[in-house]
Amino acid sequence: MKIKDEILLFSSGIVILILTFLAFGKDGFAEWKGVQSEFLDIAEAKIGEKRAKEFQTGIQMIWVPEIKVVDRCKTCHMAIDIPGFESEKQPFSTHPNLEQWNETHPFKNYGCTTCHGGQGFAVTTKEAHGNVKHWERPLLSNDMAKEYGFNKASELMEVNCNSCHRRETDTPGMPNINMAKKLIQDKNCAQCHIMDGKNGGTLGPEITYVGSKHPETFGFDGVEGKRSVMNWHIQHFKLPAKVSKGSIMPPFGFSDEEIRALSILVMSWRKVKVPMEYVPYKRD
Amino acid sequence: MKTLIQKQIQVAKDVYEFLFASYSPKTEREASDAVGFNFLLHWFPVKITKKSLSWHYSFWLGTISLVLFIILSLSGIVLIFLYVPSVERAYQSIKDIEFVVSYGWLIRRMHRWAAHFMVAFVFFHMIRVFLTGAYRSTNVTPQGKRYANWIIGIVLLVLTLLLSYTGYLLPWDQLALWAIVIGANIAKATPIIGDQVQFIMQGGNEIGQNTLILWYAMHIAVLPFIVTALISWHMWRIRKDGGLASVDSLGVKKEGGEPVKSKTYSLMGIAKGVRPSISYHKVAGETVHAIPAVLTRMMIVTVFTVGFMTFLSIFFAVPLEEPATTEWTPNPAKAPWYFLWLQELVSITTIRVPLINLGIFSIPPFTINGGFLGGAVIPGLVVGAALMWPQFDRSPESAVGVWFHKSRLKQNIVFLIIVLALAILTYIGTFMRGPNWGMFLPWESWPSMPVNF
Repeated sequence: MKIKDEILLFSSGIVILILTFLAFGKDGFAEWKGVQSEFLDIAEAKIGEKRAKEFQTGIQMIWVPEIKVVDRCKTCHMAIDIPGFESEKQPFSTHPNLEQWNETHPFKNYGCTTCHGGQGFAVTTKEAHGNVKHWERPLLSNDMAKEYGFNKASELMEVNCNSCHRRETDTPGMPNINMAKKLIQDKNCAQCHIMDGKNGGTLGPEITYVGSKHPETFGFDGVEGKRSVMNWHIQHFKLPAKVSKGSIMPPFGFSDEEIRALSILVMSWRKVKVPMEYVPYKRD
Repeated sequence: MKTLIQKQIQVAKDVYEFLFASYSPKTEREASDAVGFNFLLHWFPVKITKKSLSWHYSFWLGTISLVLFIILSLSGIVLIFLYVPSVERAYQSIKDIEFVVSYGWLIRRMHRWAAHFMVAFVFFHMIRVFLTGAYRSTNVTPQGKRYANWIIGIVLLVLTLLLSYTGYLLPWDQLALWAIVIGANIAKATPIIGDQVQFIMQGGNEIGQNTLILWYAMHIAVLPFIVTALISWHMWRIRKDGGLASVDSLGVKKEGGEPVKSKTYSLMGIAKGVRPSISYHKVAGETVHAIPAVLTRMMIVTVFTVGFMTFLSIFFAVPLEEPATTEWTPNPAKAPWYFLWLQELVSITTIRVPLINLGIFSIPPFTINGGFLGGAVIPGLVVGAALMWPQFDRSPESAVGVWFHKSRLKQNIVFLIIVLALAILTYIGTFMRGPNWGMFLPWESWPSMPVNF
């Protein structure tokens, strides 16, 4: 019995040793570490050893407490604010139109997820891009935009722009939302709906913050295809009574383009607090 | 020069001896002294029967539970430094532990897995004690009070559940919040004092920062210390009760007959009767020195338990859902798994009786209060029965310390039926209840949850 026990004890020690190495491996060879060393090789070839060494390694983060942004995207997207890497593949390329964005929406004040979506806390590709359970704001990608008939991600991203630009009527770079805002005026939606928290009719439900409504609170019985809120709105604008049983909202005969625009407009009506310095303001 | 080298060699030898040399006692007396020489070892007996030591009598379930508790305490101390108990920051601090703290993911997962397993193993431990009838003392261990230790054990089980439940809230995600909402609502169904119970559980009129800080304080500052004290008492009682009940089943040594006066292990205890010496029988079974026999096995159990928890933590993530909000309810909303048998009972016993028309008059529709029955009466009865049971156990003393003794057949069957019912209800609640609390068989897939895009 004694010898058997000693063998057991010895083998359990081996087991824990192996597990310790596994844990070391999982933490020590994290995905982002590989991405960073790959990027540094690219940078070295491109801009020389000396300048490549200036890149800070380790977890990089943009932290903007005012708008509750903790974005660790720069951990992998290391050259996002460094000009000269425009031709590289993702995640190594420079942000398009860097100069213009730096002027209007400096990254250090806005972070990344404010406009792009995604899970800023995370440092693995899958979780950071937010295509995981229990993350309601995934990265708005080209693929996702095409799924709903848009051409590119930036059109879908207008949904995030409008968090701050909500009170504007004509914002450069937001053609879809601008169109939808005009439709809201033309069709006089306020006849039946309260949309600004104060004024409007009460025939329909208040939709001031309809963008914050959780997907699980929508009924999908009348919705064909993907069970997504975007899809719900698209089909609802087409035939309201089919998606929402008993609704008296008439079908307005919108075109597909208008329906897409209206859908992202209502989805942009989220309950967010915008600090004063983030409210867009144009001096006349 | 030569002497210096000799000195260094001597130092090296001493160091080697300190690290690796083993103690080989020359006499029985020396072997016995091992227990007294070391504070950490003093709570072992000098000698132990081979039967108590065997793997298949006790399955070492109590030791495993203790090791899990130690894992939880140590990982918990680390988490205290990283976790912020505020409704604004709790969720974010968990995300940080998961993503940016070195080995934070490992520590959090170990804490969570060990918590689940501790609940399970404390329960298994109780099942073992019941099925071996080990909650009674016999005339082999006349000064034992195993019934007292059974009661301490039940209290420890309840406290383990409470510890686990209070920890469940802390991530402040939807999973956590709604588990607490369900718990508080079940508690609310208690007659007369329901509202007060709910008020205490929530730390106020609604769930919020009050609730979080209350449960946090209970989780890290109150319950762990009560549990530590009770575990110590529980272990101490095992020694006072004459060891595991398997000792009793071995019987008394025939020759000698009369109890022997002993001074060996009563000095630190308050043994009833003659003191400081107590009298004891010589047990018939074969014995070995506890050091190293018990120590070796304890180390094996410890290392394997830690190893298994590490394995789970490396390969299996633990949940963290959306940040807590009362604006929408996850579907389905569930209590933690070890309370799902209760939630299942509540949902089964909540019956909406429709309007009954009896011609002359009709009984308006009403609801049978399942929360009271499933949330208060039935669990109360289960715990009460567990506390009282040893008093009604009329089986002969020869049944103590024996698995499935013939004379305990009926009560074992009743007990196992209750255990099985709890297990089935828990299984249904955990794996078969999908959206809208609908029943889904294991091979049926749940409808996918809608997303934004």
